[in-house]
Amino acid sequence: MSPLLEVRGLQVKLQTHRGPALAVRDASFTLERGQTLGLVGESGCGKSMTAMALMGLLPDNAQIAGSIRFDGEELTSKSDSEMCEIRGNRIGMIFQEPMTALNPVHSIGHQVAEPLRLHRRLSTSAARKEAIALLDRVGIPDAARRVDAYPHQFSGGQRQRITIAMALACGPDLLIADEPTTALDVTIQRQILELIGELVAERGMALLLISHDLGVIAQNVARMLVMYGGSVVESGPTTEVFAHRMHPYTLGLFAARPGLHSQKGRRLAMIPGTVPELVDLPAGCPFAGRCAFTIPECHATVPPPIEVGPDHRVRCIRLDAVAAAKAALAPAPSHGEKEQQA
Amino acid sequence: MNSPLLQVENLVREYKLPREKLFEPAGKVHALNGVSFTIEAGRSLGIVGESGSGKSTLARLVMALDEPTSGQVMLLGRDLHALPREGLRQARRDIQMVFQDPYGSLDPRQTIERIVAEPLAAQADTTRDEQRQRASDALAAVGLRANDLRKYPHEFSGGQRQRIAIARALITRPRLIVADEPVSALDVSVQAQVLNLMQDLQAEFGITYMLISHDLAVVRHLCDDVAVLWQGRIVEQGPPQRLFEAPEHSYTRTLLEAVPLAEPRALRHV
Repeated sequence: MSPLLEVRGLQVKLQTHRGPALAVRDASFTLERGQTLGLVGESGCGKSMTAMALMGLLPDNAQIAGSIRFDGEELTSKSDSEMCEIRGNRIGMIFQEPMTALNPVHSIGHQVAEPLRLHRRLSTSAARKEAIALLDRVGIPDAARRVDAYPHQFSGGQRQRITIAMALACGPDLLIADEPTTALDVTIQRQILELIGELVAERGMALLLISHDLGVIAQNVARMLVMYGGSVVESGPTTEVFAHRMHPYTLGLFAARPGLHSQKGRRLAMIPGTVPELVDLPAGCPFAGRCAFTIPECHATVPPPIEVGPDHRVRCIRLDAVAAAKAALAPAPSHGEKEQQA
Repeated sequence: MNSPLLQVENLVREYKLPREKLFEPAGKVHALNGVSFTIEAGRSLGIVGESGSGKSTLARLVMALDEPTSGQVMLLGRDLHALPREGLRQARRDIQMVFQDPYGSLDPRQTIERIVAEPLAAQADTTRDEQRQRASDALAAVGLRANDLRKYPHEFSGGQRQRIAIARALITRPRLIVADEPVSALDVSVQAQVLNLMQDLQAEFGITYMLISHDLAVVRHLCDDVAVLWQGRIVEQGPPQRLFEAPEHSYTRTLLEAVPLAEPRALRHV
């Protein structure tokens, strides 16, 4: 049987005023029902563009190549109206900013019921009943009474619970969460991530979680992709990537985080330079130039994914040099990350 | 006379809520409910807490951008809220602020030179040439070039904009910089650059920070003391080692436990 989601060689090209730019370059991954996958990277790395491509929500100036197969169907060739049948129905999405994702002039009950009326053709009263059950499930207290309230009457965490209820309404097979907790406080973040985790397990959905926060990724997904400059530079099981990270960009990203137990006065490791604009990315490895291991060849050819562990792939042609440098640094306990336990 | 850099005493700020009933008095919300602390020169203080805990109200009162309901803010022995307008203007030389959003805090229609020199221009005791020189020095201190002075904010990335905001805060050679979430809008790798810069400035110019952040690791990185703010009160205060390793107040514990650790746990659903 084919996997629920199979992305092969996905490429998204944007037309900018400075010429074409590759926002996603040759991304491939699969996701089964009940599995969780994390996408981590910094602004402009292509993680949201990947999610938008899956949802068929790319901007008009974008050209897409490669294949996205969802439950055996090719999504890249679907028309807008065909994608409307899938979006919100079989693929649910949760966005970063719950206040902009919700419509301020409609009651929350109306908004949660909307996909039910649209996709499942439920009557107004049946949809309302179902909406109350959903709001209750995502932990809105006294849902039956609050179903007619408006978004501004809820706190940020509750609003995010409401958008989760909307995403879940039609029982999607795939849930995409794009930075779902970035706008929330840490204690609320934890509650929301726990709720998403419970719902994914309970309903056997597949989860694609996009985040810039390595902590969020570590705690919530079984497999992860690290993106930089539109490329998936490293991928694998979360435990494996955390314990044996190999790509120079992944190493830089981990080292740049201040740790909760680090000492005051310790300098953070910096990645030299700045993220180039997509138009200016080198033709070969996107990290070439900022990377301490760069050789002329890095600029010329796109590195192929190399398997370095079970299901753990790294796109780098300098892995020998990286491994040697890592071995030279070991066994210094690496920045409070306690990787020895893994 | 040896007064501490900043002494905040029993600070209270109430806000009136909209009146709900015609014949009943309007409700009040206590944004700050009796906050006291002292910052000695050279010992940066981190203020942590969640939205609604009063962090930003505290910053506004310390900067004298808002009037307290009661209580005092003493900067080097001067009560900021009792100073006459001219005295306050002069006191502002010693205290500057860096805001969270480097996209919102720089006027898009002004050149970097005007933006960075503005605190000096407001002091009205320097010539344009001095201002330009000091602005270029301040830019150099944050790692930007003098020819950036003629550019406009849109020509810079988020991390560079935050450097410009820091240069603006440095230009009056302040003793204290109040930084309200200075790195939370930045990417991890850019955040590291700005944190390192703030650390260098601490060492180089003897600047003390009052750092407001929800990110405990950032506070740990820059501060000698931490105060945990909860519902308008300081519930726990101390050096970060003690606070983070042996928290006493239950809210501090909740806050610490909620931080997602960058180590994968035994995964429930593989």
